[in-house]
Amino acid sequence: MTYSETPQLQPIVPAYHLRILDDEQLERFKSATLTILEEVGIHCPSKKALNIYAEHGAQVDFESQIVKLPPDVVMEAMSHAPRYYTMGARSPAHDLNLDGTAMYCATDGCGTETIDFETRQRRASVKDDTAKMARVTDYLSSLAFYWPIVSAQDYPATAPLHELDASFNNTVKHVQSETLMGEKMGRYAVEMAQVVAGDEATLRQRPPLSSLICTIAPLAQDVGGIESALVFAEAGLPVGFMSMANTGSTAPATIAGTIAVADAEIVAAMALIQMAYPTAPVYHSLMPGMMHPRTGAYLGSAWEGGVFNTVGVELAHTWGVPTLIGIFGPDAEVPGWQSATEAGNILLLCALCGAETGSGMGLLESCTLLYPEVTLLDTDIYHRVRLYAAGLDVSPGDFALDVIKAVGPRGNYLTQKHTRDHLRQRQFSDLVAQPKAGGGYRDPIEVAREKVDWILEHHHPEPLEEAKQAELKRILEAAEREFS
Amino acid sequence: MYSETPDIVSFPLPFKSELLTREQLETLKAGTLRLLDEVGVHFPSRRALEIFADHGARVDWETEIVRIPPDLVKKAMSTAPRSFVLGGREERFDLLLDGSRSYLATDGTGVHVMDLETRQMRPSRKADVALMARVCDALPLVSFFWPLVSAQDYGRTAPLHQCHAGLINTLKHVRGGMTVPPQLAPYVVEMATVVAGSDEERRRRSPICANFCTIAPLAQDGHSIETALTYAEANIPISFMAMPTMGSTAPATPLGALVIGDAEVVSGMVLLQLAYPGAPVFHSNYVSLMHPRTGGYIGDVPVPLSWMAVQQAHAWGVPSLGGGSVSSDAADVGWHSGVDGGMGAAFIPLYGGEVCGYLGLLDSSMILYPEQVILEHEMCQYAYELLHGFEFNEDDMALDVIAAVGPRSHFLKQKHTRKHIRDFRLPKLTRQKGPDANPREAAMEEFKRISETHHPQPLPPEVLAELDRILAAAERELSP
Repeated sequence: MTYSETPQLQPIVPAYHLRILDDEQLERFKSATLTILEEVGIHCPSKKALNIYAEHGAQVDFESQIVKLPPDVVMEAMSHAPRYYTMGARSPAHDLNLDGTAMYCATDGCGTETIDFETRQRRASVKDDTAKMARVTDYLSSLAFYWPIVSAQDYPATAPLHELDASFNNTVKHVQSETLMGEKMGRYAVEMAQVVAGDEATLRQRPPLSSLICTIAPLAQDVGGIESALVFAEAGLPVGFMSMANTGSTAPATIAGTIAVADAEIVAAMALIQMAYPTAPVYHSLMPGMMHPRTGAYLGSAWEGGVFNTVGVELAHTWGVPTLIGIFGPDAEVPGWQSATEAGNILLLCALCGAETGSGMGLLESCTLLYPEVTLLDTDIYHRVRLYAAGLDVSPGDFALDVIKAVGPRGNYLTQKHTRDHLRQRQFSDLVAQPKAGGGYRDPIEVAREKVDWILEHHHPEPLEEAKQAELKRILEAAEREFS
Repeated sequence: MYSETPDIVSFPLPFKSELLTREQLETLKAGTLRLLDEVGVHFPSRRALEIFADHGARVDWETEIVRIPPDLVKKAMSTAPRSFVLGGREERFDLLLDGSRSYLATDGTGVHVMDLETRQMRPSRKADVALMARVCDALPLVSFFWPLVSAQDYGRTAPLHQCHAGLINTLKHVRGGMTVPPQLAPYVVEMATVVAGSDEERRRRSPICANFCTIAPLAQDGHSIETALTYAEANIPISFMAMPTMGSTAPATPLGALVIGDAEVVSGMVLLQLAYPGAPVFHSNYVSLMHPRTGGYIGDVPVPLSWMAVQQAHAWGVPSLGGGSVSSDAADVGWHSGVDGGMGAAFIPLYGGEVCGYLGLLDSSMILYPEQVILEHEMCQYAYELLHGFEFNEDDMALDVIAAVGPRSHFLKQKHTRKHIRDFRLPKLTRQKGPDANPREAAMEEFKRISETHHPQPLPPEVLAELDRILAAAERELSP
């Protein structure tokens, strides 16, 4: 049986870097986090976690479920967190080595509505959408790992696991889920990862699955999230924590205050994981939003809000862990001018700050609506950023001085062999500047739509071995029985 | 009664970075020096050739090609001032080009206009320049008005009318000088003098600057050179702008194109320094790419060439007309123009060119959509908010407020929230929600609102009359 080759990844490898905050400012944030954790504490509704905190020197009030962490307890715990590790794919060629030299990006998730691939009608999302987009992700070199982009709402009780099934079966790339809540769900997910990895060593060294858990702002944990995270950490699978503190509503109405609240939530969670399972791979994800002061609405893209992303990268590194940063994810409702403007800047800035991973390609309306072509549009922007970040090699051969001499003043280069050779090496977008019959260029959005169709028709990645597919199915059935 | 022109807002540059190392810049410079020495540049101007010959350059009088030895290049460039002022009508509109801040300019010079009322495309006219000058006068992030489109209703005197439309409709600095039939150049100088108030004031804080495009590869335009010499004598700041296109008028490699463009620009700056040592000059090198199938022009090349061009300028010791650009090759407002604009705006504070931005045109600087300047101004505001620097104090950290709220509550009731939520500037155009939300329409409405309500302080009547007189005299100069 033939299958399509999964193209090589093209991560962003910046040739130059940017510092947003200086060391002193970063230390002040770190200090703010430690102060909040020591004096205000966080709310943790998981008995299991409360016990772990208590055993490691935290001040736990079991009645109010508030945990206060002295600074040295936090610092001790965080000292075990690994700075660099690997997120694995089905083959080592597609592994993500989070060593700080490259940035790897993923799709957004987890949306709830899809613009239907055929009818273009807006409807609730289903498992097949997740599967299709996994195949599109597999094809695109801009996407290094897959967040199940929409919810498998046709399987209400076990949607997160069906999302994993759709993912593992349709891409060879690393999968990261952000919907695995609860200890039981966590255990099923780990089982699925074990099947895909094949053996314990692979599972731990090149884990094919990681998890993202959100905190609850301000300063609280989610019981399902925390307990699932502990399960992942126990199995050696990377787990990260994302705060989505909201300026003005669930965080103070200042940039610094929002960052302070969010960072405290994330650090409290990462510290817990280190207490329970020292050296477990964890990551830090700062993704605050802002409250629209008139409507109360969530603004994922606000002018000053971009500062959160870049500072988030630097804070993660200050705590000695990799980052997952929010990229793309416009508030716009349709692909167009607004969605485009809210897109590329943050990706560039975060890559230059040294972000290891980012997620956010493919959804609109503040991470809820899937337009299949948006992944292609975002990919176009991604490649521009990748090329800008790569800088340029300044080596004498590229100057073509002898060619310039040969042409001299006032000629042109059209007939030069050098031009024919080198013009092909220039990088061109495959969405913009596509000639149209009769002159002019085609609408890039239409071109993107056609590309999605082409990919779905032609790209079929290597399937999992039949035995593994069967095993995943068995796990899903067991889960269905347990959760229904 | 007139409308107050808001202060101009420029970008501080705390995150300005250098892409190329000193060594790499020296390598590039060495390439330029070699081209100037061995290949030379075409100067179809007797006067220019004489100036070069007088100073020791090798001139071929038949081919009109000048070869400039490296020592002469370096000696000439050593007299170019590193910083100077572009004047506005009041000092608060002055631009100090010393590398510490980036000022945004409008784009230029297009030839088509998407009419605001009829939404039909038509040729540009002087009234369009005047309208855009008035609207840009109200936009704080626009510091430098480049007449966006050509005053095509005035034929050969169009440039003077563009200058005029700019000077009378905005208090900000105007790119009033460009290539004209050389006999008209003194009239442009006169216009600048009349607006400045005196020769001395014009020399100190010229209300206009000039730009001359070179002809790639390695050539100058005769009228440009002669006009430039006239303006340089008057101490009007001058930029030379190269626009090499990879694959057609430049080699198909980024560095080859950068070097060719640099050589063209430097040759122009050298001429002016030889003729008028100390003449304020600045550098602009805008590399593009030929579409390999259509031959079309691609301005948005995914290589940080404009960044390198800024560094080239500074390596020669002059300010840069270059850096981040919101300009797009897209022929209409939409996703493509949004990408180019959004990313271009983010580059402004990273690259640090003294004058950059280029707001207002689409289709590679050919078409004026009036709403575009509003859309792009918003994108630039985003970039400004994001990267103008980040300072915070204890009140920002709000630890006591966080402690007071504690875990699991919210901040809606806090006085601190009521106080500080107003500190956030939200985008105006994308505030609407819902499937009918349309930033483009919002931009058009904003444009209309400004054009209906914003009427900047006019020049004194005697100045206006004098300008009219100068224009009339210029018309007569060209009539047989």
